[in-house]
Amino acid sequence: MDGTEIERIYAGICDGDKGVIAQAITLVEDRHDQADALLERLYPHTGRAHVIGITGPPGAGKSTLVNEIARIWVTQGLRVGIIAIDPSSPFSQGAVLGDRVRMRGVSGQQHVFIRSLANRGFLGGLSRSTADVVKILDGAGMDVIVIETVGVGQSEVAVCELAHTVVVVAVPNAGDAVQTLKAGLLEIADVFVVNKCDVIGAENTVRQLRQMLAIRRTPDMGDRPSRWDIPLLKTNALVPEGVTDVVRSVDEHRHYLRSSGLWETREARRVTNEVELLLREDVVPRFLDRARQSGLWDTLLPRVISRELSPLNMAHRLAEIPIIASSNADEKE
Amino acid sequence: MASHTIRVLLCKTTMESHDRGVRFLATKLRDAGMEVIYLNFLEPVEVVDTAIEEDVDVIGLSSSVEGHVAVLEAVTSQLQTRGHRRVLVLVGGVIPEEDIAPLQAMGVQGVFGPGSYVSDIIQFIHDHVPARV
Ligand SMILES: Nc1nc2c(ncn2[C@@H]2O[C@H](COP(=O)(O)OP(=O)(O)O)[C@@H](O)[C@H]2O)c(=O)[nH]1
Ligand SMILES: [Mg+2]
Repeated sequence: MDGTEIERIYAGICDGDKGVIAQAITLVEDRHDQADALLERLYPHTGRAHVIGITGPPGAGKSTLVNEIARIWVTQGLRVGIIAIDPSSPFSQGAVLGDRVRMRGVSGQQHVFIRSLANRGFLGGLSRSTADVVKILDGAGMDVIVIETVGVGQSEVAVCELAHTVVVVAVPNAGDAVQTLKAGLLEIADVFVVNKCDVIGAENTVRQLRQMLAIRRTPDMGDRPSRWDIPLLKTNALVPEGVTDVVRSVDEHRHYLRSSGLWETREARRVTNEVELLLREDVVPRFLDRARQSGLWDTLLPRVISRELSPLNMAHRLAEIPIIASSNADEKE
Repeated sequence: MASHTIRVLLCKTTMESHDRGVRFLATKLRDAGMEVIYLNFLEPVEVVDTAIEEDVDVIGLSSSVEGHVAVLEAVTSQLQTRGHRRVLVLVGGVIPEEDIAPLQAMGVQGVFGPGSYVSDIIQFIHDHVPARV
């Protein structure tokens, strides 16, 4: 794979060619050595899409709901990208990805692209490449991109670092509702959905959640009061019932972000998170390799062993090594 | 470091049969480190749509009644016309002896009858999955 191949893939993505989009996603998923070049090419053409996270406990009906939401978006003439993430097995690194079972209604439609991802051991309910997959779908001209992810605990809510709008899905069961609250899901919700409102006990749960929402802390406020009242919506995704309200609330939230200036705040947060992750997982390991391979390492090591220098001192001296390899830097060494 | 995880689309092409076998195979392939996109039932055109979007290396179809030759014919010819290269197509289920040659002729590389061992299927995938560049 070379520059012309990257150019072909780039053009295919911009054309919305599904086969090429799919291939590009595999490249970033596999961390292929040409993936960076592709993303570099693509990045200036991203930033249009409204990115929506849908999270909640397993079995809450997220996939079923995504299918119904997407169905409405399609009738509105929107292009829809769906990223459905499930955990990989910690033992084999393999995964069974079953979200598409519930998405047959929109699967295969011209303006819908669905991709199932395994988190491949990445924490927070996302996969390591999710941000890059979003960029590919964004560059392909998707108006809305949904990320479906399982949210069960504090660490499973990384989706809010990627999404403009977070929809939390709960189910009517007093225990579950409290569980949802404990998991910190309430804190990240921009839109709160109680699905399966056809089952007994739904009214109770909704009442309970309404009280909880009333006393919820509102992040994102900065120094001005937040004017976004988190909607609490009831759905029955099977019928479906109440789904148009979810679609409306999600769109209203986008308007709210845009008109309040919070869109930019969230963009800044998304980029900050991504750059921090890249520094941690990409730049630092590469720097470590360079440091280890530098002559300086071997020169300093005996001096630390003999107690002439401290380990901290050695680390600080190594930190002088340029992080990015360049011919200049090599001359200096 | 670049490394490719084998991705498999697994589904039935007939509605009436139960899917215990497919589910079982799905978990076994997962345990062998593969990512399995599992669906209980798909029409041929859906098989191809899904295989393309998910960029799978393997399509495994389970079929337990008559008609699998026509289904596989539809799947393999659509894969070809829509330009989805390098995908390994396997079929499992009750396949009469006389169907095997025609299936292979249309590009179905692996035919796994009722008594097949999961370990053989896994080995077959490892041996035949097309390399990625
Ligand atoms: N009774 C009822 N069942 C639902 C509803 N929405 C989804 N389900 C069912 O709940 C199960 C889990 O749904 P799924 O969408 O896969 O949940 P996910 O794990 O959150 O993605 C499936 O059997 C759905 O058919 C609903 O509103 N009411
Ligand atoms: Mg799901």
